[in-house]
Amino acid sequence: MLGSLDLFEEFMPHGMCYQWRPDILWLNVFSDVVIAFAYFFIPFALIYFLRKRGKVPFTGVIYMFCVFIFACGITHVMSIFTVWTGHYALQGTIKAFTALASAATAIMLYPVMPKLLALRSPTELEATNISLQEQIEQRKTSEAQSIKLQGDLARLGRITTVGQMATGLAHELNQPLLAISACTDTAVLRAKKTSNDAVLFDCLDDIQAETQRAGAIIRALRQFISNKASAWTSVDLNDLVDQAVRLMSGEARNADVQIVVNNGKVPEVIADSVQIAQVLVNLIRNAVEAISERVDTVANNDNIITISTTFDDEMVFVEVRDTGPGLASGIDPFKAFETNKVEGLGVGLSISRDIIESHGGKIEYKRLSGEGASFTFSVPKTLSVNRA
Amino acid sequence: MSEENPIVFLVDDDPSILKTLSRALEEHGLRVKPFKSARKFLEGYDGQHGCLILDLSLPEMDGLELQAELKVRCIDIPIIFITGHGGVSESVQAIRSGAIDFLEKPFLPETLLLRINEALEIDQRDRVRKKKQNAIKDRFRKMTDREREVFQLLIEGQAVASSKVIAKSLGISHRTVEHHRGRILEKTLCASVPELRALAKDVGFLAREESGFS
Repeated sequence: MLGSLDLFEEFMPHGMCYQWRPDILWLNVFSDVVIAFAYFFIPFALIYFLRKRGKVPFTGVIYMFCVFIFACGITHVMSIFTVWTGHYALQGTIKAFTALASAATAIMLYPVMPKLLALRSPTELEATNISLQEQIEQRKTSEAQSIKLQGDLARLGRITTVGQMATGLAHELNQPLLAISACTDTAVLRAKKTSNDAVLFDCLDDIQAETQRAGAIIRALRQFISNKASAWTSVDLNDLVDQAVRLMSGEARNADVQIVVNNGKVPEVIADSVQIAQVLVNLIRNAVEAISERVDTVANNDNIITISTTFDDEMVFVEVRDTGPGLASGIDPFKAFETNKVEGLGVGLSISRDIIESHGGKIEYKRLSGEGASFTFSVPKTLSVNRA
Repeated sequence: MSEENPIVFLVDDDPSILKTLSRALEEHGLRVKPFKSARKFLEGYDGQHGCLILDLSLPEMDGLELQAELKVRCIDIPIIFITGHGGVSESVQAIRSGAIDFLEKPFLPETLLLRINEALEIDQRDRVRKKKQNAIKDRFRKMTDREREVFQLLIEGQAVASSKVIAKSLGISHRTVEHHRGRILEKTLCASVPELRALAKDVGFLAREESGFS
């Protein structure tokens, strides 16, 4: 039947149905003109948008929509023609094409619906953007803090090392200075018995004065170092453990050492966070070095540092355990310049002890049965802290 | 108690300090006994009077530990601490525990001499006081058991107990109490009961449990 269809066969024009009443006729014609223009315009607008915007999802559906709406426009143009010329076969054919296009568009639309729904609205995207930016800011701030902390630690390390040297030197030098002072005193008494040589007495007086001056210089140097202001605040030792572990993660990785943190919830303490962080870094570095020394001699893959925090009625405790060889017996790990390390001055632990004791805490070393060492330090809980 | 010259005990682990400081003090006319450790001092000290110049940081037993140990042993020798470290907390603890001074090395020998003189004076005063107290205690020791009971009742309480009250509480006659009281005053060389009470207070006989005469 369709095969014998003559597309240009003339029937009665559609205007007849309107009985050629101009009002109804022109109302229909005019509306169809406007609709047609609108339908022709929409696809162009969509294509223009796609071209300009570049990456837009679901372009296939949008092109289908363009075709479908353009076809709709043509059917309305045909409605205008058929008012005067009754080419209903042609109109039907065009409608059939439009039907196909619209059905295809409708079918295509359903499977993409979930994806369409998943698309973020611009307001949502805006919010996501803002939160991302905030995260970036936070990351930047914490990075800056981390860098600052590293700088502080390095500076403190230098200061305390110098301080430790000065303290060590002071002790070592004060002994001979006192001996010189005592000798000079004796010499003066003796010389008074046998001589009245003014220059001799002058010399002896000068020796005594210079000896005392040397003592005063050492004292001033030590005071200068110990008076450096420190910042005491309420801190959570777990945070400091995390910071220190982060700082040391590179060194640990290089030495193939794994750091395990067993942080229990602990009360806050009043402390100089930079100093305590320095103690933690010292202990972790010490543990890493101890383990890597053992690796050279014994084949064992358990290169683990375990850090745990606990507390009791008065103190908060932090323990740093390693699977290294432990210290050679007879060495006081907290004494300056005593070390069984090949490198290093052996002042790190001594500084650590100074720091912990200045916080009113204690630091202890335990050799573990089997293999390994354990260093535990304590800091008084906030309430019991006595700030002198 | 020896009445000889007081001895300056010097404890320091640095041999050159021991040598030079001993020599300097001897040059000033003092008797000096040097020790190179706290243990050596504890072994060598025999209650002589004088004073102790003590280094703070010593191996094994440090200066503060020795100070505590001397307290435990009831040895009251005045202590002058010397140190090459000059720790504030240690110095506070040392002074609180009764040290005369805390000198940072290198100090002037004159300063040490001043402190030594001060310490020796304190030691002398302490010894005189102790000697006096011991003499009084010796007098108290001459009392018989019954006299001691009466004495105890006499020095107890706010007011002086009358002979009648004492007689009643001990279950003896009023005249016997009067007799004991006379003997007590005689033995303790006191003119009156109030004087006896004051003396007893001086040497620390107040409560019954402190009346350890034995």
